[in-house]
Amino acid sequence: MMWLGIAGLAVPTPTPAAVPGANIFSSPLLLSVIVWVPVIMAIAIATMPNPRGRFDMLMKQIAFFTNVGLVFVLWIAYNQFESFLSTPQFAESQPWLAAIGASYHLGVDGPGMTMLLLSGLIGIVSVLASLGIRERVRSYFCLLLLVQASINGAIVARDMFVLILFWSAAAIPIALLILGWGGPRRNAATWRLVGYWGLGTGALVVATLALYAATGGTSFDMDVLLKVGSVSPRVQVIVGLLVIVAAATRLPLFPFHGWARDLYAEAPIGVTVVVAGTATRLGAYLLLRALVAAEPAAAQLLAPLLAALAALTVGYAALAALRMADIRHSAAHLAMIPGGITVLGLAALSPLSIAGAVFSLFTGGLAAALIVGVCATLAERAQSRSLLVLGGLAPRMPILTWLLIIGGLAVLGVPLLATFPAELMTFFGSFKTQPIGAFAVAAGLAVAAVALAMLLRRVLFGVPNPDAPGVSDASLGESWYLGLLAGALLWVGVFPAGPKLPGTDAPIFDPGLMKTMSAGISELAAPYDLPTPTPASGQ
Amino acid sequence: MNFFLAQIATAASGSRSSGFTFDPANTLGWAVPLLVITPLTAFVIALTSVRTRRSSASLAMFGAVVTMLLTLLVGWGLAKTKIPFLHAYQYINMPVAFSGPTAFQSFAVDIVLRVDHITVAALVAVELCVIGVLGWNQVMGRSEPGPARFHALISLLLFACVGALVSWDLAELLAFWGLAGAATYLLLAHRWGSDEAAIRARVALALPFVTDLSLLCGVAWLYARYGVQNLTSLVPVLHTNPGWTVRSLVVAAILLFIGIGGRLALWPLHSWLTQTSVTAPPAALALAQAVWSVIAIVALYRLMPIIVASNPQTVRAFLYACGVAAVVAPLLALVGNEPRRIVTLLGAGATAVGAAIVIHGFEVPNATFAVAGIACVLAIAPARAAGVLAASAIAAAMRTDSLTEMGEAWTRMRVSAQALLLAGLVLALSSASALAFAFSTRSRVGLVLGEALLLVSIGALRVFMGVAFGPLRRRRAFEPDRVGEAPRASRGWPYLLIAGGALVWVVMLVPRLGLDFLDGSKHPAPAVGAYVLWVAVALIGFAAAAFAYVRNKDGALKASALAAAWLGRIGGAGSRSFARFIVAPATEIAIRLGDRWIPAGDAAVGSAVETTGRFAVAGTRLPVLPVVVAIAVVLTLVVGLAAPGVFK
Amino acid sequence: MKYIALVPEALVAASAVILLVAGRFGWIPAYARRHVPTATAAVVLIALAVELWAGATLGTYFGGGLIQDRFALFAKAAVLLTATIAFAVADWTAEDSLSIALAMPLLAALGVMVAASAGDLVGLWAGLELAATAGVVLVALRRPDLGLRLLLTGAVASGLLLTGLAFVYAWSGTIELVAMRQVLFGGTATLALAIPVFLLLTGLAIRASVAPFHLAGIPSSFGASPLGAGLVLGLVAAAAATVAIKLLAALTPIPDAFSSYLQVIAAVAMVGGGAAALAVRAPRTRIAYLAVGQIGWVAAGLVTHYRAGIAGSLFLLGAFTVAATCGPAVMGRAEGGAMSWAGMGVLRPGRAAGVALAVLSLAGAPPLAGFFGEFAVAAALAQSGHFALLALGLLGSVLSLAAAAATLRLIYVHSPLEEARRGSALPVLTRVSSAGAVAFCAVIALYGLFASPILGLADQGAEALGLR
Repeated sequence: MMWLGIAGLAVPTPTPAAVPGANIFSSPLLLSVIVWVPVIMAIAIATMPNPRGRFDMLMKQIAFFTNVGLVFVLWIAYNQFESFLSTPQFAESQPWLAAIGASYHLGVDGPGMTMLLLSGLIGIVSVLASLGIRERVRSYFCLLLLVQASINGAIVARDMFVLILFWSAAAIPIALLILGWGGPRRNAATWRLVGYWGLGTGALVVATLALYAATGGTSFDMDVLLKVGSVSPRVQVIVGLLVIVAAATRLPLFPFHGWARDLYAEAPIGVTVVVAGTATRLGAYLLLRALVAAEPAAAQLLAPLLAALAALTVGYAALAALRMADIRHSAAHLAMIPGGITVLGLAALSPLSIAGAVFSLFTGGLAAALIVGVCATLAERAQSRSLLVLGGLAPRMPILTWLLIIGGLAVLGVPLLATFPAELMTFFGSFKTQPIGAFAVAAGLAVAAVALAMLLRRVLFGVPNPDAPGVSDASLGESWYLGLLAGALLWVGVFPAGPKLPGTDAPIFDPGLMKTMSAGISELAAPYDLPTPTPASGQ
Repeated sequence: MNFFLAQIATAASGSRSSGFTFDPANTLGWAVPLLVITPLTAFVIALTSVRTRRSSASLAMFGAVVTMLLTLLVGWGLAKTKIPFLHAYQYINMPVAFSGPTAFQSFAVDIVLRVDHITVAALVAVELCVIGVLGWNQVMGRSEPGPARFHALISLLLFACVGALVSWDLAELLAFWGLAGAATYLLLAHRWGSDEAAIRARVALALPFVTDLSLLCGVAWLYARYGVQNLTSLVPVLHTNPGWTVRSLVVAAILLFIGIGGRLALWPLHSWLTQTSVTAPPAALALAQAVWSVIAIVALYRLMPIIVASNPQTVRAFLYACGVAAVVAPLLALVGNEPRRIVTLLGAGATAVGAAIVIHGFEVPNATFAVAGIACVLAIAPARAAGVLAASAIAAAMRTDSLTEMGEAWTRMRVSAQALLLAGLVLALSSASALAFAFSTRSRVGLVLGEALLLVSIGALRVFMGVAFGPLRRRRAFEPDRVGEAPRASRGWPYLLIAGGALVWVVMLVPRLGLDFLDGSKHPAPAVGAYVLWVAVALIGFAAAAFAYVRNKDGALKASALAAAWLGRIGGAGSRSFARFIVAPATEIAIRLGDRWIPAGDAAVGSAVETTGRFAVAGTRLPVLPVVVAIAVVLTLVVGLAAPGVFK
Repeated sequence: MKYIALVPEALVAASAVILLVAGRFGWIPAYARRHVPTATAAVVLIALAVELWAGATLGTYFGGGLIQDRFALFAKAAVLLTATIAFAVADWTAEDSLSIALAMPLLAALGVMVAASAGDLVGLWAGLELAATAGVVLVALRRPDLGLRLLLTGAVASGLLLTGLAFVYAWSGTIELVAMRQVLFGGTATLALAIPVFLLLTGLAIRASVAPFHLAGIPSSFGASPLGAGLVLGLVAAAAATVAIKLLAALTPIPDAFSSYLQVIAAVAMVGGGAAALAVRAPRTRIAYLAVGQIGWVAAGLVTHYRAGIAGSLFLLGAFTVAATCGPAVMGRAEGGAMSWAGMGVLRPGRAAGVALAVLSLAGAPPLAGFFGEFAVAAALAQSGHFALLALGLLGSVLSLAAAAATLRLIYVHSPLEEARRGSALPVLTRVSSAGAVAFCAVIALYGLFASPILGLADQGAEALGLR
């Protein structure tokens, strides 16, 4: 950090400057680096010689340090990200399929940067969570890096063609990871995943091409396709519905969640974390980009539908979690809840709720990843997934106990954890425009609290089960990856706008996620600004 | 930081001017923030570095004592002035919109530290409870598991309570409120490894979370209409902001009231305390009910302007709700023989009385006795904590949780028994004195609350009589002669709490000292007649209980045991039918969706695809020539005849 | 100097003839046998180089019989590249006769080249038949029964084709494509014209083994030698597709006469191919059905009968030809059935990667060759408003992707079987074959990277056919 500061002094920094590391690292290819370095490393891992698995550990190290490097780059990008700019930053644009108007166009605005940070963090976490992999290490980490790359690509894409490319590219490696290293019911999980995500991808492609055709078939650039008012309301509604399907299969939203439970329950922990943390958040991210920000007319019309989906998702997940007999299934359902809250924020279509939704992309991703990760780890450490077998683990695995409690409370959105400000903003923004949806989601959260209470009671606080297999607490690696998630939740929860000294308004070294996130939010939400008030008319 | 320096500098300059003239008002600038930070620091240290029982207990106690001293300093600083100390730190400030009402163009949450006399009094009460409970627990809590965790959580709870009491921004209030809720749950569920405790702790998470959520919804509901959540700026615009409606204010009022009622443990939202009254560590139980009643009553007092702004019917309804709660809780206390549960319910009833007084104080135009409700609860809080501690000590010594098996405490454990008695007295008498300010016994609500007071006093004396007198019978593996007083080091703490409560009560009797200090306005002392009347009600209650228990203790206890059994049956039936007719169907649908219907749908699609594929593959096994020719001919004709633009 | 653009054809034809004769009279000494494929590949590579250098100059030969335009350049470059890689990568221990296995792909390639630069119906027909016959020969070499099956259906196909062509000639009064296009302007699609065109398309569909007319081509690819399978699936289909593109370009003035029929065929092929690929287990069979699905996309591109669509089809056809021809060749023997390729990722990483990429590309997985082609076609479909067809195509692609995932699992996730249970010998591992595998992977993986120039050339090709 220090040398960054020195270098920051050495280089003249334009406004607003102030943060260490600002503009010491200005590469025109920053986003390409973030997207393609994992691919290159994956190819390196795939091609390096590995006689009798001698270099397995080296491969793990390559994967880990690749992600660490990415996070370092991201941290710098985060520090020099200019939150007062509404236009995409670090933009890159190259013509690609010129004949059909597709271009290699990358760039991030506030929400994109937020997602990138999430992805970087989850990347490290997923590798740490995968250190236990023993067999076919090469293929595993190769595929994991490819997943990482495809997610990053989908985040930074500013051209629908690029978005579709990366969006659909994620499915195959994830499917292979589950097939290869998953639990007993991996086949069902995989085929469901491929089916649902395939449906979503198809919907996304059709939506994109509909926009493409409607805008004259000249370009796939988001600046053209997703320009407000570029297409007629009728087309907007069709596209909106398709986008909702695409998003709902990813996030997942009821009733397109068929894949989620099996995947969260069967996938290896590292993959579960990636899917719960970032891959699924892409759904809401797409909803934000392609519906809320681009098709106001359709968004206004479909908002009740979205709110209903959000409420149904939260309610269903909570109710289902009440009766699960498998801890990973419970976790899977609890992990669906943050997605519902995000979508409520997007459905409410008020500037604040949209901001809350964007913030909950980050926090919800962390919470979902933590809850599924800790439950999976706990199931491994306790050598059983059945809630009928597990019991009274708290005294014997204190670390996992605390992490599970934090994860559960994070899903509920308890203060001190990052999900609280997100929930606060979402609800504050939602009660005017979608009161019923907001109340329904709140009711769902209440049921979720009951479900969580029962889970904690059964697994942690009860009497130890004498017949249960042996139990051990989290290993160092597991403590680290879960601790990273919990730590991030706490840090952002305590300092959503960056740490400030009392009496000062400038953050000290972390510019603050909320500040970064807010870049471009106002523009995204501009169509939904409230009308300027008329003179008071009480009653 | 520079802000602190400035404050310290002014303080110093004050002292430099002429000899030593220490003006405590100058210290507010750093004392108030320090007040909030101290327990947090204690928590962080405990979390990071403390492991042993002794050190963690001492650290928590040290944090609480320092906080108390700082509070007293702040109180001293504010003693002369009526203007509250107010300082705001910007926490979140995010622009979200360009146009529209300015209030909605950005989302700002400030950490507002606002300390007035009520805050100081409430803080002192809370800290007193924490100190007393910690002191008691150092001795009596030796057998509790996870001491480091326990004491760290107490520091966290104290931090959250202080934050909630000083916060003036509703979002900030929600944050501290929720944090205190989480800490409370973890404290009540502290006994890991015990099934009973685990099962009962569920409700301590679920029920308060629901009510806290209701508070959040209420605040959100208000914000969605007014775009501000700072009380200073919110209250004035309640009726002027464009688009406000009475309906919206009523909804907000209901949500807020439910949110606060949950933490006041108003019946029927009290079960998170009664359910855990036996299984939670006594210290946790005592703290939970004491500090929450204080925070909640203060919050109620501060939110009343919003609630009153809705409409009179709503306020009246809330008043009735409090009245009913005040009656039902002590009524339930007469049923069943668990001393800690009884004390908890009595406390809940008395707190409901306090809440009723607050609401009534705002209901009646230019009435000033609302603070009497707060004073009442401030007196009750330490007393009920003391009651719980004393009852726990006795229960531990007699190794039973049922009054039917207790007795002879007056001879064997007089100190604890006296503590229990005094706690009961403070409980009843402080409610009585507070009522004297607010209600005439002739008003309808007055009658109801009088009944409540009667029941509270009956219950208070009942629990004392139950443990103090009558035979202590020999049981399996229990030798009455072994029963002795609690360790010396633990005996004093309940008395400290009782003394605190009693002090508040006494102060309340003299408005010039008490109520005037609290809200800074003049309070006419009620007529002596009113005092006498209300205290008489309490005394009647004591007398009735004494009479019944002296006459036939076993009979009385048996009667309440019987009633408890019936109540249990009814409650069981109720919960069973709820589980059967509400929970089971809902979860069943969810489970079927996840386990059967959706997989069935997936499977159907899958098999359809599979069949298509097999069909396509099977085609290759057919005799190729005829099939190809046939398909060609059929397709050609069909498309040729059906295709648009071809067949004319 | 004018005729230098025909050097590639000459080289290919000459080396095919020489190989046949040398093989027939046993002129190839034993010690030289292992170098012959390399040498042939080198010759084809030279031909490719010449094509890329000299083919850029437009020209007309034999009084309009052959036309060297951008379309021809694209198609020829594609097949020559395909042939080079196929020869380099093939497992020659799995082939029955070296000389024939080398000559037939050359002849097929020649057929495509002739068809691609044909200026009239005769050239088209000749090119297609040449390619198809080569396929029949190579299949029959190992499995006479399948060869016969292919021959018979081929006869039906060429019968239908000839009938169709005859009618078209009768209707337009010319066999020259350009002239025919001129004549047809202002014409309307009547049943009398549509029926023969449908027959003609049916013939082409049988050749290209597009579902539902895949009954002949696909099974014969199961039993054939690797190169034979690649030939039938890839080059012959490419020849048929080339002919289709040129013919339909000439028929664009009356789109009603073919587009609805093509829509049906394309839809059936895209969905049926994907579903069938999901239903089968053996890798080569899967490749075959994935190829059916992708050739369906090529047909879907032709439905649009606009320049963008034809360009997309052509762009996709290039990717398809390489993947479908070289896929089986990279795979080598396929006797062992489904499990023969279990864990091949460990045993033969190079070839495994080749097969994996071929499968993924044929399934249209990003970011490989097939994906870019299919996306270009999809864009064209959207522009021309064929959203139903587009949706069906996407459905087919999803199914194909699932099938591809299953094959990848077999290759990379499944642990290798021991020698006895595998059922077929491991593919040979030579320096050339490894280089070929790498080259193949590079082409499939980097097709998208160079998509801009390639699609640009395809676009010029479509323009050269007179499309706007």
